[in-house]
Amino acid sequence: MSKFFLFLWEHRQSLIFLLLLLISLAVLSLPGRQRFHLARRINRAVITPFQMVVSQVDYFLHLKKENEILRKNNFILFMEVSRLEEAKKQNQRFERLLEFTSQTPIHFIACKVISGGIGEKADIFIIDKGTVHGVVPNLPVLVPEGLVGKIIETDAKRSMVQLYTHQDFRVSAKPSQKEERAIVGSGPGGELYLFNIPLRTQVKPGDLIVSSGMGGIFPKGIPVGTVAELEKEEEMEITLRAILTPAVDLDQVSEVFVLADTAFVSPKAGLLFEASDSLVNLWNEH
Amino acid sequence: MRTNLKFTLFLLTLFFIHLLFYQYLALGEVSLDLFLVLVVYCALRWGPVGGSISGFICGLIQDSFSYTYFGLHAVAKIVIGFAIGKVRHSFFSNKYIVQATIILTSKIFHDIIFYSIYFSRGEESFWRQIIFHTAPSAFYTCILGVALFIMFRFKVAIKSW
Repeated sequence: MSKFFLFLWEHRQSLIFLLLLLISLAVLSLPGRQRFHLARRINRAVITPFQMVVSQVDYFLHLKKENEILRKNNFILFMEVSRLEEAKKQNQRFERLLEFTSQTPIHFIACKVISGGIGEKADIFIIDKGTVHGVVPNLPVLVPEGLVGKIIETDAKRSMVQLYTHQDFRVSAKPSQKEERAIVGSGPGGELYLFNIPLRTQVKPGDLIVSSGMGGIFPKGIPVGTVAELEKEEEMEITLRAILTPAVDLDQVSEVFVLADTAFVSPKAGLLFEASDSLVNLWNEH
Repeated sequence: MRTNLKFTLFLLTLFFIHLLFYQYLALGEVSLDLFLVLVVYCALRWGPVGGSISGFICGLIQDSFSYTYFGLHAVAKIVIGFAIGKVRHSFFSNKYIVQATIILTSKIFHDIIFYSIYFSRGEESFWRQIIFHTAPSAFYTCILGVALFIMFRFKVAIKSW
């Protein structure tokens, strides 16, 4: 018995190394849900509290500069709103004349990205709005350039965003000018693909891919990426896949919008505004 | 005693700078890995055990932002921490150029381990990542790591566990 302990003591360095390596490999091969809970616990306990402080300091440092810009923008927008008010009234008159039904308004919650990772190839963001602001799981997360991801987890005052680089991320999509639906998903290296495209396709490099509105999470018309290249799928050579250049560069994202369900939006949300199909049209033009 | 305090402060500085300012210190695609510098200095001072444990902790913290490959940073950092701890007696010196070389080499090997697993199921170019991302990041990390070490002005004494 003592020989055994002597052996353990002599090889303690290698044993500790092997033990830690085995734990890491075990964690790496855990099922998705368990891995998620473990990562979330570490994230909440160690990282987010510190990064929230830095985020607040950064926020106040930029507040004065931002305030000046916002004042200018406010004036421009005020002028624009006056013009649009007139256009809206005119539009309503035309709608009544043509008996169109009005569209349900879409609401956005403006959020700040508290943290976007501290290592290579992160696939989640932490944002500063949570359930008290109306953020719930499965809401789409966007920036004006296009799709960022969706909410996967919420606290009272912060939420986790699953980015489009995450391997489990999927969105039903189509080329903006065509009605050929396919699935956008992420490859093992975080690259974006449009999967399941039939061989006789009209999709070609340069096409803008937007969400198709199917699937119940992402509304129609949000830019996802541009087709860079088409190639045959490895497993089934009867379909093609397109490599996409993402519409959004995640490294540049510091603020996002959560596309919120009207019923959940609370007045505590930082910024709340209505949009309608005109926004989707704007995106399509973009 | 004073050296111990300085060394602890140095490690805490590396830890908090990385934790709090990672995104602010990134130069586009070129990122900083001060957690790796921390692991390297722990391995140099406390050997394979210190290197492995610090690698495990720092790696898991970094991994908490990467659900798909949770545990991968930890694997890479444990291996680097252990390897440096094992061979530290044969090359270590308090010269800055030696330390810079150790950090540079560690970062390259760390990323080779990391990306060889990360890209194992994909078709993305492993070497493209190493040349265009790892190489500049390794230089950036080693320059900043050694600069912080110089700021604290102490000598790393090798201790055995």
